[in-house]
Amino acid sequence: MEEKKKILEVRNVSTSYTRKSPLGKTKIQHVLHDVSFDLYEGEALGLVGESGSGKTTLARAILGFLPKYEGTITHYSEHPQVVFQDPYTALNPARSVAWILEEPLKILKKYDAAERRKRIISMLERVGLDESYLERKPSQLSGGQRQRVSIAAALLMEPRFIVADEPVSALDVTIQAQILKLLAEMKAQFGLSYLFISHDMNVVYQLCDRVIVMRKGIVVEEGEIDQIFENPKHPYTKELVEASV
Amino acid sequence: MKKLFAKHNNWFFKVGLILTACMVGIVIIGQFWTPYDPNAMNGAVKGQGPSLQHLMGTDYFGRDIFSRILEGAGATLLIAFFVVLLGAGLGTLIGALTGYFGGVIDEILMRICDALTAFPSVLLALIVLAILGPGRLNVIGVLALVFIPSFARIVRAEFARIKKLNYVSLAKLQGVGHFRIMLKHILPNTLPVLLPAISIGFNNAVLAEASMSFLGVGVSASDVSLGRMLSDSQNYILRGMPWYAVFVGLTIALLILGFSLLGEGLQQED
Amino acid sequence: MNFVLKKLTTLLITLLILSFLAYAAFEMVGDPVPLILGTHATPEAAAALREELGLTRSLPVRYFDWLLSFIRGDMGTSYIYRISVREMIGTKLGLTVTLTLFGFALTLLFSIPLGVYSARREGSWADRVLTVSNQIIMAIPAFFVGIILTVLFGVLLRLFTPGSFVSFSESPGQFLLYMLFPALSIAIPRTAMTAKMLRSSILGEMQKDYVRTAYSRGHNRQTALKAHALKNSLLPIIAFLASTVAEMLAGCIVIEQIFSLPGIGRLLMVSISNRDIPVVEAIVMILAVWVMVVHFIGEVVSEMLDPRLRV
Repeated sequence: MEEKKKILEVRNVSTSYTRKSPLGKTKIQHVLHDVSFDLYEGEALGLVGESGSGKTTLARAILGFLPKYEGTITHYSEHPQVVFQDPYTALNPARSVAWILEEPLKILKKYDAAERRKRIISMLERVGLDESYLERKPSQLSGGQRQRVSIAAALLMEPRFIVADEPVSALDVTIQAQILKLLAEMKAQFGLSYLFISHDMNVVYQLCDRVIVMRKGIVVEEGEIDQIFENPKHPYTKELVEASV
Repeated sequence: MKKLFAKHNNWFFKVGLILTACMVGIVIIGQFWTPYDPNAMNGAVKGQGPSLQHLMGTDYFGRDIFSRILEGAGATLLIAFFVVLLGAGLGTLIGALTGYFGGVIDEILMRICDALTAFPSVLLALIVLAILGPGRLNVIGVLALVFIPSFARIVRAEFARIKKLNYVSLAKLQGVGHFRIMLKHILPNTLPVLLPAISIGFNNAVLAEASMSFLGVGVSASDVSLGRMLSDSQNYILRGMPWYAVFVGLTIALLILGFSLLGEGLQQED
Repeated sequence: MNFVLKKLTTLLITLLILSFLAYAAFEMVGDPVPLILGTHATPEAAAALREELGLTRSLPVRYFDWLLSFIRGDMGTSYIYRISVREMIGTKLGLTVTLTLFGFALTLLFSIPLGVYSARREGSWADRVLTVSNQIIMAIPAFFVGIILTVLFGVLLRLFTPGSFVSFSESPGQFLLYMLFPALSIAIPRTAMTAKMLRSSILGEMQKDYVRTAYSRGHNRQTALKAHALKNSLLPIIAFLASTVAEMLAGCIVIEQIFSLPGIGRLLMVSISNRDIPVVEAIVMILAVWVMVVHFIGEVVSEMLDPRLRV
């Protein structure tokens, strides 16, 4: 672990919003409170917490979608790619799979049209689809197939680091297992790092090396996956682990 | 086209499309061939009723009304085309920019749009045309201007909604530039609301041109258009020749009905 | 009430801006002096007239002067007829208002029963026929309805004489009969639109939880509809009805022309072609006030019925 390269460093990140209660008093709502952690090369870090724990806000901050927060987020690799939770809004409904996958490559301007097509087809095959899906629209794909296309789109950018925000929670159990397997294979094949966000300890256990448990914007526990599962210290972690068995 | 049919397999869409296609088709043919020269006066057939020789009768100068309607409808449709082209084009541009970027300019522009859309567009166009004076170009310019806010509003709402969706976030992460995102990623997804709005736009443009020219502030007195003919034909009603007005009115009504049904059909799925 | 005050302020500011723009635009249209005196007038006579009309002062000064007089009810003097604009507009405005309100009343009278009936019998033959015919009728322009009514009831059935308007003072009965046809012309397309909106609004409301609860508690469909849905489904209609009154006013301009009614719309068109700017300005202002006030009333009424809209 010591000699591994850092991919991401999150230090003392806090964010909050003020809202007016019906009685006219302003309340400060903490979404993230003093969150710090590191992510290393080749590591899959699970970020676990119930909805409202601030994990998606943290992911948005890391991806650069959050306009305002305190603390620092430092990337040591190129910008991360992302796989979203809802496979129904992650792919442009007006475009074909081929267009969706080619667009980022066009932006990169690294390859000519023939090379782009070759790469797209080979990537589709790697995520368990094939050439016949090229001309389909997202509406003609199942949830699992959409998520495969999303993963392919992320991987085509050749990232070292992928943020996956609940990538399997909208899928049923058998498809979940397939997608998790695919993510694990891709990690091994490309030496990727994952920040894997989930509310489900079980899912995290299948993929991650290390876990951060968040509750109400605060990191309550952090540790190796086995240690967290066998010997959870915080009562909230215990609750999550027990719920998953 | 095939996809549009599959998606909008409803009564309104089919009838609207057929009606619009027929009307526009006849009018286009009328630009190249009419039964008679629309301006040829024939003293022998002054003010006649509909007959096999003159399907819609003749006016006091012995001109063939059907031929004149074909010519007038062409002018009206051409005006409507440019009105929609300009109105929808500029409206989409403004709506896209304000919806995507938001901010203070968005606030101000939308306030102006709200104030303008509260005002009946025919009234607004009438007042501005009264200032500018009649003429084809004025009609096109003023109506396009009056139509911009309604297009800007719906396009803005769509852009504001879609820009928050994951696939747009993803495109930003992939390094796609703002203008490419707007043009290639968001715009195609606004078509389900833009197409019906364009169809309704044609409906409104034909109606507005007819109303303006009927009231005498539209095309100039020497131009032909359905609105001008409507105003001419009014005198014929009282002199026992109501069919002239009925045919002109019917042409306008059928054109509008086609676009209106098409717009309704495009809004309804399956 | 805070809301009403806020809306009222917005209304006044919008009217102020609108009135200035309209005034400035019309003042720039052209010099009325050659129009009044003809092209052969001596420079002295022109200068004297200019002085008399107050054209020597700057535009903002003239605007504020005009605005203050307008608020006091003095709308200036016609360039052409040299009589007070207020006098010219007086009875004509009354006629247009009567026509609009007549048309609006007819719209309400027909559209509410049709919309409710259609929603109640959703999916039935009657509902389908109504839905399709509404869609067609709402696309028919008011002036075409006017032409058809004129030909049908004026030329063929001779129920009224097209082109010879009878004023209320001449014969109230004949006046109402004559007004019925233009009022129908503006009411018929709007009735179809309103009935369509009401139907979908009621059906949307019937889908909501509280109606379903009432339904499952053993109320039959009719009572559930009457008790809960109608009031709530009228809410979105109110804003639409406000725009109806505004649109009808615009529609009146064309309809007055078709039926030769001496209303404010005809006066507007005549004054435009005469370049009689004071009359045009006054009418435009009246129309603007009308439209803005109608929308204001619509907003306040929906606000009172539904406090949820308050932001």
